[in-house]
Amino acid sequence: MEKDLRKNDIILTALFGALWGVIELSLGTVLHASKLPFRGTILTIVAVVLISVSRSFITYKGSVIAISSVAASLKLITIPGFNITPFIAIIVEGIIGELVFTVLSYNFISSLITGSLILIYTLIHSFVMQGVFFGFNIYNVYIDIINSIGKSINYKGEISYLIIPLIVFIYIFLGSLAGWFGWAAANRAKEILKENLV
Amino acid sequence: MNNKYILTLLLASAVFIPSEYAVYFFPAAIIYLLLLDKKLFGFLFKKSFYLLAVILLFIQPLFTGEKDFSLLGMNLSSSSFINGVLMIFRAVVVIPIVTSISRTSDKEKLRKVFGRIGVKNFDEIFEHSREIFPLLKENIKEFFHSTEKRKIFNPVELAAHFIAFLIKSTNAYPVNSKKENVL
Repeated sequence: MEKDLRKNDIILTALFGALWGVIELSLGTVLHASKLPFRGTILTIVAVVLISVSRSFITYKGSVIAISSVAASLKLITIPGFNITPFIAIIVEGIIGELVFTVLSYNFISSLITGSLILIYTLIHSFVMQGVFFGFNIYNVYIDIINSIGKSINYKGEISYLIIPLIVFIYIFLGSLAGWFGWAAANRAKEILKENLV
Repeated sequence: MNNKYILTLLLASAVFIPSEYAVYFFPAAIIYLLLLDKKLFGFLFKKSFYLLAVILLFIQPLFTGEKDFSLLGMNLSSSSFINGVLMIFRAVVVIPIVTSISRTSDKEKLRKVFGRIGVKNFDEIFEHSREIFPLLKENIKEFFHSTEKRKIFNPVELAAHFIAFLIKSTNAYPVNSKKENVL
C-alpha cells in the first residue's frame, strides 16, 4: 500500500498548485486581454519558476505532477467553457519537471534542464497544435517561406538551417534562465525562512 | 448516433482525409457543425486566425511553388494557393470540433482522473488548494503592498521574499484553526 503524504507536504503542494492556478487565471487573463504575442511562452516561463521553486520545498516523488494537476483542475473549474490545449500543456509541463527532478534529483543543473525542456515542449506544443488544426504540411510551408525570404536577401544556402536552431536556442536560453531564477529564489527563500526562525 | 461519436469520427476524417476527397468532405462537415452550433465558429473573428490565413493564402503562394498567375502585379503560385485553401478549410472543420468536444467534456470526471492515475492524496490536496485559492489573492496584494514600503528591486530577492512570505503563512495553518485566518 502506498504511504500517505505528510500534512506539511499536502499543504505546500496545495499552496504551490493554488499559486500556479492563480497565476494562470490572473496573468493569463491579462495577457489574453492584452493580445500580446507569445502569451503561452510567458505563462510557461512563470510555470518553470514555480516548478523549480516548488521542488525545492516539496521533495516527495510526484510532487510536481500533483501541483500541475491542482493548477489544471483549478483552471478547469474556474474558467467558463473549457479549452483542452492549455489543460494538456499544464499537465505535460508537470510531467517533464517530475521526470527530470526524479532522474537527476533537485539541483542547479536539473533546474536548468527542466526549464529548457519545458520551454522546448511549449514550442513543440504550438507547432503540433498548428499541425493538427491546419495539417502537418504547414511545417513545409513555414520552411519554404523562410528559405524563400533567405534567398530574397541573397543568403547562400537554406536560411531555415540557421533560423530554426536560433529559435530553439532562444527557447532553451529562456527556459534555463527561468530554471535558474526558480532555483536561486528558492535557495534565498530558505535562507530568509531560516533567518526568521532563529 | 450521439453527437460526440460523430464529432470524433469527423475529427479523425478531417485529420487523415486525402486532399482529393477533402473538397467534398469539408463543406459537408462545415454544414453539420453550423447546424450543431454557430458559436463554434467564433475563432473566425480572431486576429491569430487572420494572420495564419494571410500566411497560407497570400504569403505561401507568393514565396513557394511554381509562379503561374499574376495578381496586382505579383507573381503567385496557384498550387500553393489551393494548398492554402485546403489547409484553411481543414482548420475551419477541426477547430470547431475540438472546441465542441472540449465544451461537452465532463469537467468533474476529468478532474477525478488525477486521483485515479495515482496522484497521492489528490482529493485532500485539491480541497486545501480550493480553500487557499481566494485567500492567496488577498495575500499577494498584501505582500506587494508591504514590499512597496521595503523597496526590494532585485527580482530574485523579491521572489524569494514572496515565497518565504507564502510558506510562512502556511506554517501558521493549524488543523483546527479558522480557515479565514490562514492561507
